[in-house]
Amino acid sequence: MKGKFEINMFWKVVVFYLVFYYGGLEVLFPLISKWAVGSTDMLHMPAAALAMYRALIFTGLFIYISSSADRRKAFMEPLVRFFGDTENKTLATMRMGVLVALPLVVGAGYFSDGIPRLISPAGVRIQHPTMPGSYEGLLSPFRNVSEKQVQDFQSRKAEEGQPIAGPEDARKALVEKHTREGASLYAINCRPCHGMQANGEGPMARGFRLKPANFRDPGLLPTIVESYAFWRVSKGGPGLSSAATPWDSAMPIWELNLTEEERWKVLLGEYFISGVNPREPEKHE
Amino acid sequence: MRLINIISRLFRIAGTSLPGSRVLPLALLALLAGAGCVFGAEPAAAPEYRTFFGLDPRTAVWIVAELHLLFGAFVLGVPMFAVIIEIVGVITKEERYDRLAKDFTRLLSASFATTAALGGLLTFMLFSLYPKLMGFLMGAFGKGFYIYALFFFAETFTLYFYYYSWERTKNKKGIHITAGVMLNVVGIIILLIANSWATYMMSPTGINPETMKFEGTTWEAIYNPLWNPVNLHRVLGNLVFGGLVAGTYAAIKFLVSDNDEDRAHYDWMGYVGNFIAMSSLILLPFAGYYLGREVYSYSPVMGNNMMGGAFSWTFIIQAIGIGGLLILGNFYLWLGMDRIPGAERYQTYIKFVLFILVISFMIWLTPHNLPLSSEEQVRMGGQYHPTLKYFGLMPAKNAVINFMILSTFFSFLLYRRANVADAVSVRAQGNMARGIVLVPTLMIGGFILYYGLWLLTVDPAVLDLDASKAGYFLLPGLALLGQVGFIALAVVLTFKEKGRLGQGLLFGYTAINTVFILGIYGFVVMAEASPLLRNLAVAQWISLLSCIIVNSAIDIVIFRGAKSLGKLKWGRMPAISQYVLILLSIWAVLTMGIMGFIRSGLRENWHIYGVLEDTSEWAFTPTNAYAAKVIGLCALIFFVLVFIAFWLAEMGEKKKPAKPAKPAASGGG
Ligand code: HEC
Repeated sequence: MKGKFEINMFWKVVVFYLVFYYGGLEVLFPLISKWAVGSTDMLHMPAAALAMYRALIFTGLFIYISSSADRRKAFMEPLVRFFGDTENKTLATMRMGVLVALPLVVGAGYFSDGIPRLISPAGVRIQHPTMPGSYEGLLSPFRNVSEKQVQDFQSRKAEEGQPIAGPEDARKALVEKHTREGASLYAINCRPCHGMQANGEGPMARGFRLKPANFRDPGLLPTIVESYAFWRVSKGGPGLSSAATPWDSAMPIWELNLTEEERWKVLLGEYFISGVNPREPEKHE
Repeated sequence: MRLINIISRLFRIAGTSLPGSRVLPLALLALLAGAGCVFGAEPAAAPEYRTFFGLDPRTAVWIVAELHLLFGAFVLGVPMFAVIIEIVGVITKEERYDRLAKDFTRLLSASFATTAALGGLLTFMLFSLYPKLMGFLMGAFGKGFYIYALFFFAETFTLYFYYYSWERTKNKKGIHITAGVMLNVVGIIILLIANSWATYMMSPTGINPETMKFEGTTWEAIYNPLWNPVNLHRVLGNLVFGGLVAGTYAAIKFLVSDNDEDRAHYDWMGYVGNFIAMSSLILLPFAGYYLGREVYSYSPVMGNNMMGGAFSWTFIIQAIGIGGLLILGNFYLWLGMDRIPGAERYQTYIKFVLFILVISFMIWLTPHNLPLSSEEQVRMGGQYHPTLKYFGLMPAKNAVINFMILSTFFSFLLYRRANVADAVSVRAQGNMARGIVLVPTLMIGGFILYYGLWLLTVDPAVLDLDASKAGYFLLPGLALLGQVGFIALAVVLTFKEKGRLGQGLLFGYTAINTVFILGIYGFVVMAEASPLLRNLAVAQWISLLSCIIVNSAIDIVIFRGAKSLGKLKWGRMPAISQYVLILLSIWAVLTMGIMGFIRSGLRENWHIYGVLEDTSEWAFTPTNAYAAKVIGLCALIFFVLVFIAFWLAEMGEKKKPAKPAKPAASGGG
């Protein structure tokens, strides 16, 4: 073998797998996650993700080995040597050991996987199930204020002795007023669960398994249009369609306690507190 | 009475749309089947739905429509590259290209009749099983249907002329190639018309909101919001699919052939098929993004169903499809490096490319919402994994798909230069070489410059954004200017005989720019200025495209006529490579099936979204498991039919006189 010390490819592949899978995915990534979010525990990957990644690593290794004649040969070499050598007595014993152990290990794995035991099933949740078409296209009357609303507001302000000159300034001031009203509605109704920072960690949040939504998450509110949030607030957990399993959302049905106007306003407050904007419906190109 | 009308109308349409006498018997059979249902289930009032021999009509239409579409995709995709290959043959004066183009076309003529028969069957089924829907569509597209039939005629004639006149016009290539181009023009028009029906059902226009009746013109109906996005997507998709199915044919011929000459030819044919498929595939994700965005624009609810709601899991399955195609395409390419003398030098790169591909694939597949057990949910303190969740969002997907495409392109470049010894002088090649580099570079570079400056100067109000958001336009604008800078640098270096360094620098910057800078910035934009996200995606995409174009141009010039390290050993491929080719086309059929299911299923309980509701008992959205079974069945039937068609095509071929057995090609020793 060219005189210098070389690790055979078979072992390289095995070591790579162990380092990448156990070291990278089971240790390094949880450590990085822990550091990134400042948590006290290791943040392990869910089993579903690990299974998926493992399958991909195997596919990758298979492709690597088989994509060149040299690599195929190099990889198989120790196997061929191990299983093909009929002279060497110690090899024969080891071979016997491997041939007996292999089915046992595989069988044991299969057995321990398949044996009935008490675990909660892995649930698949659809965060944003279909909303009824009748909500589509609704616009917040307090964010998209009309000319008339602005004019009324302006004259009211003028009566109060605080006139606002330009219509643009007046519009801003009006939306700001709505937002303030919304924020106080939020503090009264939503804060217990969604938290004053809107990060889903209100004082009651710990009581629920399915946590109240974290509105600061860039993957949540920014991906839905405002009318969708309006539907969710109106109908709450019980109003979710069956696709959004499991049906364990504690989100109350707000249309029972808040008027339509209040629900639009509370959304204004919610977006303001969480510092994100609703998704803008896009225009066609 | 109305029934009779429908049937006579059917006859008229079907009669004009059926090509060639050989399909007539088949069509008649289909007609009987269709008519059987019509008469069999005739109630007093015209029904809105009928069953298919007592079976679920929706699944029946699904299967026939999908088979028709698969055949159609093949029949429309293949002529596009058959003609190009023929032209290449004329330019290079190499006979083998002509044989290859004809080989591809032979597959066409065999499958064309099946396509037409399936189309006829589909028409009958739609009219008999969904009279209410078809009545509505007739109202919107009335004249369009007849024009379609007319074009189908034209397609039939041009196709058969193109194929059967091949030998006769050997010396009049001009005529023959014109016929081939005509064939493509007609084929694309057919595709566009058929697309308009499918997209109209998703994004109807010209509807009076009071009466829910169609009051627009036929053109309005055709030019509906999703028409063009689907057109683009399907044309590219057909190229991918045509290339892969032709590749499968080549793979099987390779595996069964008994002499080296055939093996060499079919190996090469498979390679060309895969090359065509991969070159179009790397353009497809962007077409898909464009389509997805337009779905969102048409209806945020439909858009949300697609990626966040009811179809989000189906979308993950589809992601496996796309990623798998890219990885398998690379796999085939690497396997092919064994037949290139000199490729040994580049083997070490493969593991890095593969590593990038696998890591990107992992991120590409990670859903936003992972399936969790309650223990895991409690442990993570919520529904989302605190860090993995970012992989589930659009900016992450955009970043990694760009990375995968860039890596695939890198693989191609390795493959290209595997055989040549060293770069040649650009200066010595004179102005021609400069032109090859400069013309495409100026075009794409100019466009990027324009787009970058637009981003830097545009008023945020154009995107419905507040003036305070102007700051978010800065980084993408500058990143694009950087891209222009690196393009210029690469070209200058090429002219200074340092082309390879230039290519490397451009590669490096493009990866950093599209994947890391713009990719990660996407998260910020998504939260703060979401409408800008689509411009960000465009910025990523054109940067990527510029790298592909400029680096290819440089590659062509710096290796033009370079010294070869030995003849390519076509035909010396391990069997596994051919199985990869076959797997690729099966994979493509399944991916198309799942994508079609999503596209069509997005309408949910609407025949015509928001206008004509599906009131039948089959209005529910099928589960993924059910869809998988139907799509699997379609794939199976498709391949059986394709094999029969190809087998029949072979029968017509004259058997070549048996060649004396030659010793194995000595190239590899
Ligand atoms: C009892 C606790 C509780 C209260 C009070 C509550 N929520 Fe929720 N909310 C939840 C939970 C739990 C979820 C996550 C599960 C779900 O999506 O239904 C949620 C989800 C949401 C969502 C969906 C986010 C998404 O991306 O789909 C919105 C919007 C929302 N809440 C708004 C509000 C508003 C506005 C209020 C005050 C008017 C409020 N919530 C009060 C518990 C609560």
